[in-house]
Amino acid sequence: MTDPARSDVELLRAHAAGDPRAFEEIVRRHRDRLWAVALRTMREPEEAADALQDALISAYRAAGAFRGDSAVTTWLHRIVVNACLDRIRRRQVRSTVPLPEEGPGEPADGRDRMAERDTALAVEAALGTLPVEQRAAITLVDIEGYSVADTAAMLGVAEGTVKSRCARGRARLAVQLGHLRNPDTAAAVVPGSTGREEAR
Amino acid sequence: MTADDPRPVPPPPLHPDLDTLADLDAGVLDGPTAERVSGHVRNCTRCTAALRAMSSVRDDLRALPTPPMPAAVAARLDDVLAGLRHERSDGPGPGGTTPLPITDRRPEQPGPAEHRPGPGQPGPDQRDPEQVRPAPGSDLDRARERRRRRLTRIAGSVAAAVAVLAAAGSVTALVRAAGSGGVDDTAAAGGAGAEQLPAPASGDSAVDGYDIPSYGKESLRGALPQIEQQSAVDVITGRGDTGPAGAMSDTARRTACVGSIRGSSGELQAVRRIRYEGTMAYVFVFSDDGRRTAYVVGDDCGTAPALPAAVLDTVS
Repeated sequence: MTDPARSDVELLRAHAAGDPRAFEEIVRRHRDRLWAVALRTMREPEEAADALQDALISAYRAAGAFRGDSAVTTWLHRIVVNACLDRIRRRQVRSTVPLPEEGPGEPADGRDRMAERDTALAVEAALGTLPVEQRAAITLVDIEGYSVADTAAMLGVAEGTVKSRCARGRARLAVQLGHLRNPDTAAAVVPGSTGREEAR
Repeated sequence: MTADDPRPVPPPPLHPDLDTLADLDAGVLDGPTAERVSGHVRNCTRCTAALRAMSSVRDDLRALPTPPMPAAVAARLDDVLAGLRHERSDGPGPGGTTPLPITDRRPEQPGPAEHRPGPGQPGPDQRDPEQVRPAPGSDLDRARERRRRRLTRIAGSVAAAVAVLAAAGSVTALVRAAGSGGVDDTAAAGGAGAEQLPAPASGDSAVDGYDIPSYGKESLRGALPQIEQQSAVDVITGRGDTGPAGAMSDTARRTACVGSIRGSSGELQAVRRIRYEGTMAYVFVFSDDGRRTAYVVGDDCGTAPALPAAVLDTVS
């Protein structure tokens, strides 16, 4: 049963006050986006499910600490992405795990749709090769559309760090995806760093 | 090039590396560097093309579809949430509901990591079918029981672990300064890397097996390297309330606290529950451009909505 009459904030406050169904309604509303963030950060469906479960249990219990100075979805994404990063740090998961079995959407008929799907798969695969810090930043900013400021708050880093992680991640993706556009251009610039740390 | 050579002046031969181009794109280069790199890019078709490629990647990323949550995962999460709902409704309180245990988390509550343990962890923490698909209520009770058994086993194994380390001439010795106002635990190094051993509970200075060390400002400054090593974020997460970071092992609680510490910057390195000048507190260690800063915050950090953290002290 859905509860369209109440906003996310109202539902979260109702949950904190003891409403037994309010939190489940919030999760029901946003679970695909939460899943997408967990999956893209963890790369492996079972790990993503574990991390998302961790995060939702944590959020369920911490709802009383929600300060209301950000959207509920931002707060939830923040908990999910940090649960993912915690899990990755704990298990030292490498970024070379295979693509999820259930990819982004079912194949569609027609060359254009096939090309879109192939591009999406290539982008997802390339995304999986990035360092997790860059992948998380790109997932939140470029894919989920969060602002740099919100993402910085979610990840607990400076805004410049988010900008740098996104840009450097995109640069690596550009090299990896270069064959899709202009391989000569992408190959012309050698990836790597001059030893400088990423901007903070 | 000669005076009658019609070819344009070539750009400087040394192209900026990809990270520098990316940082130019992000607008995070310092002024002089940005000016120098921009000057190069303006005259370099190769670097201009690379920047265009980065922009194309942004478009590719924005076009990615949102993968729907698989039905099996949705069902599993529904089960977990139903279990939490039952757990809450089974507790005391009017109308069969219990207020959320934010500031008074019971140590025996299964935290997220205990609920979904990682591979390689021994005994009851290993995955089993009931943990993969928790059922309402009863599984959570079983999880509590498993955790109680695990804690008992850990406490019982500490003495054996110390004996093994001593017999092997290992690097770690745990020196307990009982009643000391300074650092309680010190690692006497005889080799690389000191390890932390969970100490037996003793009085009110311990939480289920971990001592809560007492510090003043100077002793805390001296202990920061040890705290960073023993209570690094990647170490304390998932240990639940009974670990060295206490309640801050919970991601949401820790994230809420960090967000409320005014003036903090950089990445969180470590969290440790401590007693600071006699007051229960947490110390958060941040690293910003190689500079370490520790914030000592009140024991209730991350629990009060819309209130900044009570920062008791900072140590750099």
